[in-house]
Amino acid sequence: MSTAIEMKGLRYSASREFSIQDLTLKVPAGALYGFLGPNGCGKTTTIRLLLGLLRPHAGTVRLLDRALPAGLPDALARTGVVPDRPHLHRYLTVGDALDFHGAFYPGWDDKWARELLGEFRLLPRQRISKLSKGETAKLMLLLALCQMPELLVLDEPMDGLDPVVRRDVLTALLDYVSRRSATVFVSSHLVHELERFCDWVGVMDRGRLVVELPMEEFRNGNKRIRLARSASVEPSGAPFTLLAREHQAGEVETWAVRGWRPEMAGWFDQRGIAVREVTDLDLEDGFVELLRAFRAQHAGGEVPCSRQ
Amino acid sequence: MLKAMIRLQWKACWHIVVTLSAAALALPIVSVRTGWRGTGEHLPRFLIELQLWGLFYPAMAAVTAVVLAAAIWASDRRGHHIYALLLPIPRWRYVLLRYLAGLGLLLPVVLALWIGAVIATASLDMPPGLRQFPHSLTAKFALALLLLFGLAFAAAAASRRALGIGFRLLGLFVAVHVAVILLDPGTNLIWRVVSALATWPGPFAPLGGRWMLIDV
Amino acid sequence: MSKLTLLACSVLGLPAIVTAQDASAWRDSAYRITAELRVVRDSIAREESGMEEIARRPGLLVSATTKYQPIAAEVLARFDSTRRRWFGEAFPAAEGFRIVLRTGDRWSTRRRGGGEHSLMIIGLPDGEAASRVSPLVRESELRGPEEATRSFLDQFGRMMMGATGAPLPRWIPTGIPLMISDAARREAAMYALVTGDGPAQRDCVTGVLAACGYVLGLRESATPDPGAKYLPLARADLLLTALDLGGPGAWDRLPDAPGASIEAHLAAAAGMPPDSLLARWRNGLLALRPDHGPLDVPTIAILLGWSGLVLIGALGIARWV
Repeated sequence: MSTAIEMKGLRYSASREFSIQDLTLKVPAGALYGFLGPNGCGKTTTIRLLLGLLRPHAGTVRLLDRALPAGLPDALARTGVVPDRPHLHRYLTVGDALDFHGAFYPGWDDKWARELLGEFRLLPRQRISKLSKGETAKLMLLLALCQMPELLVLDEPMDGLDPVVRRDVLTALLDYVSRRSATVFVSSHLVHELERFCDWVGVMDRGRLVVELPMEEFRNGNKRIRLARSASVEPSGAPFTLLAREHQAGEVETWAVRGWRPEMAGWFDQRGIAVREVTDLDLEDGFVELLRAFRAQHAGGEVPCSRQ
Repeated sequence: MLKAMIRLQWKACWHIVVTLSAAALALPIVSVRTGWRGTGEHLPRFLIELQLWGLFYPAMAAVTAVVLAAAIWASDRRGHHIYALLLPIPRWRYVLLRYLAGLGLLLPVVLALWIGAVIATASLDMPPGLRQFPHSLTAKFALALLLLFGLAFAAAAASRRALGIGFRLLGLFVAVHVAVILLDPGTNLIWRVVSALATWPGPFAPLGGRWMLIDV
Repeated sequence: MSKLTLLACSVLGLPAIVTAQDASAWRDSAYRITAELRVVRDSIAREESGMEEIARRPGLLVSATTKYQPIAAEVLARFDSTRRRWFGEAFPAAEGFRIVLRTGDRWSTRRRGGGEHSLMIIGLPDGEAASRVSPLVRESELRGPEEATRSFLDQFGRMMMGATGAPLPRWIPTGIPLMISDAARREAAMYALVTGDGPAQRDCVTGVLAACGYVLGLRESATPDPGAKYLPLARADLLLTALDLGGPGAWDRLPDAPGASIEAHLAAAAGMPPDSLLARWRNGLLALRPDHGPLDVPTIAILLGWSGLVLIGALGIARWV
């Protein structure tokens, strides 16, 4: 199996104001896939479509090589899920939740579950309704991990957690991944959160997939280029993607680009434009510029251009 | 999985089950003790009073069914069934597990009623001409509870869409009933439907009839 | 002496009671009853002034104030159909009788709360010498038309029994329960028949008609220590069974044998020999006895079958996606 998750041409309309449109997404098996997007862009809706909690109006979904909805139970048996909101039965104790959850998964590792309980500093007798936000998050992750899944789907797992809890969650996650070579699909609106461990990234905005590429490329390919401005130069045909351009005082122009490689400086040379400086675009800045360019294209067609 | 489900539902509903069981235990005993004045000329009145007490058995079954069915599904409904949908079993199988585990919650109530019925009849010096039916009455109660629980369970498990369709159908039926009455005042559709449900072989026919712990 | 005092005297049966020692006691009672009847007469007059006559039939008048008018006709219909079924067109006495029943919201002859809403049932013809007002009825607090109709029918039944010449009032001192349904009455009589544990009562169940005659208070027992007799309800049921079997005109045949035994009167009403009447009565009640307990095979089948269908439905409608 080369693909853990595959969505093709997915359409779903939640309301008149918002819809998922022609979503095509592939998560390679064994990848640590970060699903990025601002709040309200459709990440959770996409995850719900992926897990069969919503039925798409068009398109197909394959989860661990099983077509949905027919193969859903089989796929879910090998998928650990941490949804965006706690979904546990609040009147249970931690121990009860483990026993109940474990009864449904043949691969459940009870020994490891008890070990993780200790690492997460959770007590079996604690009632779930009395757990803090961080403790609840840890418990949900514990339940997902101890199923020994091939695929982990995490919807904003670190949202609202303090740094200590975040570290615990991340450590457990990476530990599991390294042991089992599992695929991880994690959504977040925090770029830096995903940057640390994901090797693939997909960016979503307003119900559409903006871009899907290796994290290395996403991280390193975003640059800010300062150019000596001459006559206006059109970026058509450029080997990189222009995200934004900014005219500054004097004869200087700054371009934000994606997909930059050092040899591309020659393209400017051929046009008689001097490249004054190439700096790395901060990941978050790169993300913001990416979204801005995407929105501009879908609104009017032109790359945003600002003046100072 | 069934054991886990039974434990889950017991955790959610044990206090309700205990309360209902206490009521079920008391019902036959109270019904007999309040009317019993010994043998002789008091017996006809005792039997008539026992007939009236008989109404409490189907009522008790209805209350037990509705309360437990609602309690069983309360947590899932609060969580929009997300946990259930993420489990690696088909939806119908999850519902069946809930149902079977729910039957397990009904058992203590039925058992309590049976114990109460046995105690009630054993405490009396039964004159000739009267027969006792603690086992038969309990069995009828159990079967009535099974039916009513099924109905309440279905309503509690139904999706919003299904409930919406149900209410719309009900509204349509009422509208048709009103239209028919305007055209032909002698025809009462609602009464016909109620009659069909409440008379043999309708589902509610057995809920009427004799619910006599002691009878002639 | 006022008319009311005269009325009181006739109620008390003046000639039989007066003795030298009791004269003052009698006079005091007469004055007391006079006062009570005056209250009744005055309150009737006051109420009648605010009431509207709803229906009048030969022998009957029903009046009501606004609130009870819609149901007054219903009360009359109910009374009439019951009266005709058992008594035909017979009435207690040609010279007049008066049973006055009023009902309202917590109303009584003594306490006049809520008297502006009333339903009045008056048995006619209503003469000045009306003498059969039952003190029980006068002092009752009647809560609603249902109770008023029941009370009226009970009084009417007593008066009818008294007018036959047969010793029925002594035989059924509690009166005939005309307002309860046939099914309820018969079931209660069946319970009395089947649960009796005296020797004669057991013999009646097994078919010894002489024993049935004894336990119903119709015959002397041929055996020593026959045990208890049945309650008046069973006797009332026998009377009404005889009237049912006799068809239209049965009540008129009831007093056809003056001086004869109660059994003969009943047989005359039913139009059959006494033993046949007793056998029909007994067999009819025994046929009401349930032949099985609370649960039988059809009930089990119905409940299990529908439960299965409901479960299938539940699995189908629990679609949350």
